[in-house]
Order: sequence, then C-alpha cells, then structure tokens
Amino acid sequence: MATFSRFQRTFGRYRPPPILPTTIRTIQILATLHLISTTLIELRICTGFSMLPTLSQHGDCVLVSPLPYWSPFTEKHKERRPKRGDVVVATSPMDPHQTVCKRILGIEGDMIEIEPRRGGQRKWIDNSGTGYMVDIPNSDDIELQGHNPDEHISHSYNSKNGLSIKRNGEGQWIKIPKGHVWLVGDNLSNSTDSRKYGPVPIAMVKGKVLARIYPNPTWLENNVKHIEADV
Amino acid sequence: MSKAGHFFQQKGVRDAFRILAWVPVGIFFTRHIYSLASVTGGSMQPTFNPNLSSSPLHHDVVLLERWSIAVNRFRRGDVVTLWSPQNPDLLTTKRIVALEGDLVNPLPPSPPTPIRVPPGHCWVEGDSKYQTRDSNTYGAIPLGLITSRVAYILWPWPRRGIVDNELPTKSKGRVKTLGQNFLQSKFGE
Repeated sequence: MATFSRFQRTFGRYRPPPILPTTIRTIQILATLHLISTTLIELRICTGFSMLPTLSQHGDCVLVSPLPYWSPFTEKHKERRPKRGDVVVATSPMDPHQTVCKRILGIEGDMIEIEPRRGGQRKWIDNSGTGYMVDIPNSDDIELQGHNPDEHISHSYNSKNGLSIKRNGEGQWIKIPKGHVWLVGDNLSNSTDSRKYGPVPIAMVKGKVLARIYPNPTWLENNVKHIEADV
Repeated sequence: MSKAGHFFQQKGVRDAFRILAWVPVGIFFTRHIYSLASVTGGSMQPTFNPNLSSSPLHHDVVLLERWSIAVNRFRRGDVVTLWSPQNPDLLTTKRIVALEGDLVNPLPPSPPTPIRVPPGHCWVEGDSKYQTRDSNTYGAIPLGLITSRVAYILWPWPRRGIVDNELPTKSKGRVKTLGQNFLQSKFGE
C-alpha cells in the first residue's frame, strides 16, 4: 500500500505538457534541422553495389554537402560547377524520389565512350571462393595476333555464330551537351548510370560527397588522373 | 547565474530568439508548400505575359504550388516550373505535354519520328506558337528537374485566376497516351 501511495504522489503531480507550445517548438526544431540538412551538411546512408570499391554495398554513412557547388554570387556559379572525379549525390533520372550516388566522369563538352570496355565477352571466374570478372579478349584480336591466313573466312564464321558480341553502347561516343554531366558508378560491371539513362542535367546534382563517416572514416579523394594525350 | 544565462534572460534577446525560430519554418514553407514568383519572357505567351510586346517590363506574379510535386502529382496539361536542363541556374516555366510511356510526335527542331518518353521523364512545351526552347530542343526531361506547379495568377488583377489544366491547340493531337488499360496489362494492377 505504501508503494502505491508513493506512486500516486509521484504521478499525481504529473501534468501533460501544454499541447500548443510543444507542437510549435517541435515544428520549429524540425524545420531548422531540415534547413541545415538541405543547405549546409547532411549525413546520408549509401547502399548498393554501384560504388563498390569506394563505398560498400551494406550502407556506408557519408557526409554530403551542397556547399562546394554554391556561391552567393550568381556569376560565380559557373566556376563552381561539378568537376571530373567528384563523387556526388543526384536525383535519379529514372525516379524523382530516389537519389543516386555516382562519380562524375565527364562535364559539358567532353567526348565520352558509352561503354568504355574494349574486347568482347567477360567471364565470371571463381578463384578459390573469391569471384571476379575478367575480360576475354575479342576472338578477332587473337586471330590477328596469330596471323591466320584464312582471315576472311574466319571473320565471316565469327559474325555468323555471333562470337564477336558487341555490347549495347560499345564503341559509341557521345558529346556531353551543355549543362549536363556524365555520372558513372565506380563498379562499372554492376551500376545503373549514365550509360543507361544518358547525361544528367547539373540541376539534378544535389551535393558532393565529402567523406565517409562510419566504416573507417576517410575523406573521399578526387582520384581521377589526367592523362596527356600525345597526338 | 553565469554571464550567458544573464544574456539569455534579457527580454530583447529572448524576443529576438522567439522571432528567429520562425525563420526556418518560413523557409520550409516557401520551399515545399507555397511560394510566389514572377514570370519573365514570352515562351508561355497566351497564358503568362500575353502583351509582352506592348509592355516588355511587365511581369506576371504567380503562386507556385510546391507540395503537389513532393507528393508526386504530375498531370498532363499542368504548368510547372523546372530548372533548365541546359543552364542549372535558370528556372523556366513550361507545360507538361506527355508523361512517361507516352508517344509524342515532336515539332521541328527535333527529327520527326515519334518519341517514347522514358520512365521518370516527361515532355514539356511552351504555350507560345512561336518557337520556344522546350523538349523539342532538348528532349524529354527528368521529373527531378521540376520544382513546382504554377497554380494561380495573382498580379495583373483583371487576369487573376486559376491556371487552367488544358493543352494548347498546337500540342493537342500529337500525344498518344497509353491509357489505364495498357498500364493494367503491363503491371497487373
């Protein structure tokens, strides 16, 4: 009985919080958090296989910020456009309610090969439990190396049996139009990206991925190397 | 009491904070629910700025309905604002002519073969009967570029009223909609 009276004394004093001020404060706090996450900086979880060497498929926590592409002066926006090699978060062109996390490989005016993989087929090789993909060189190339005398016949044989398979988009070059970027996942073999839906308008890019926070925190570097073309 | 405590006990400071706390709420409202905008240019001419040649400095003031985009409500014939795919700093106004899966016969700047609008995209066109820079120039655009629906003309008081959801005559016969039957047969709803 004593415990009950103590209970009554403690909770009898309890008054529910006033509804209106509490609601107002909650709305204000939520709006502030939303403002911070959309304009300053945001923690996001990235899942999927498409960025595999950089971000794992189990959902890495990354730091996303739109600030690198923003400046208070409208004229300066041009200098702060996304650059090649940035990892960005963009609205998916296939579904406006999803976002994708990809790497920018080309900016406006660049010439891009849609499927940048030479050679014909690829094969899944299981090497002691750890599988990986290998490119099998085109059968045409092998014969060229071996100097086959019946080149004409072998070529027709190939095309008849479909041995030299050309994948969709292979060997096609595209010039990226004004105001667009070319987004590609780091895991080229398993990624739905610009090779499927084409160049993406810059307005769809929502922010730059600055760092990975949760499993082994690092800054994400711009690791695209510039190669001088000697013509 | 500490110095900071004294600072926050002052009446002026407390009032300032009370007002500042409403600023994010206001920003959220203008970004996601309703906001005002003025329309410049003549690409939507019978609907907005109808007499641009006589008064070039005149801008229509319109009410943008943003929540309808957040709940994914796109309809053919809606006037929407979207970021120009060619210039990410330019907000333009166009009318949605076709949604995903529709077959469109494009107008001159693009080749005259019918185009199937890909998933997650739409086909937008200006109302003006002269050439405008719209989907006929840059192709179907992703729905993610659309920021709001233009709901109401506010300012030129005689022309105030709801922006009607109706395709102009130049866009009317060129869209072949896949009706509800197609969707049902394909997705088994």
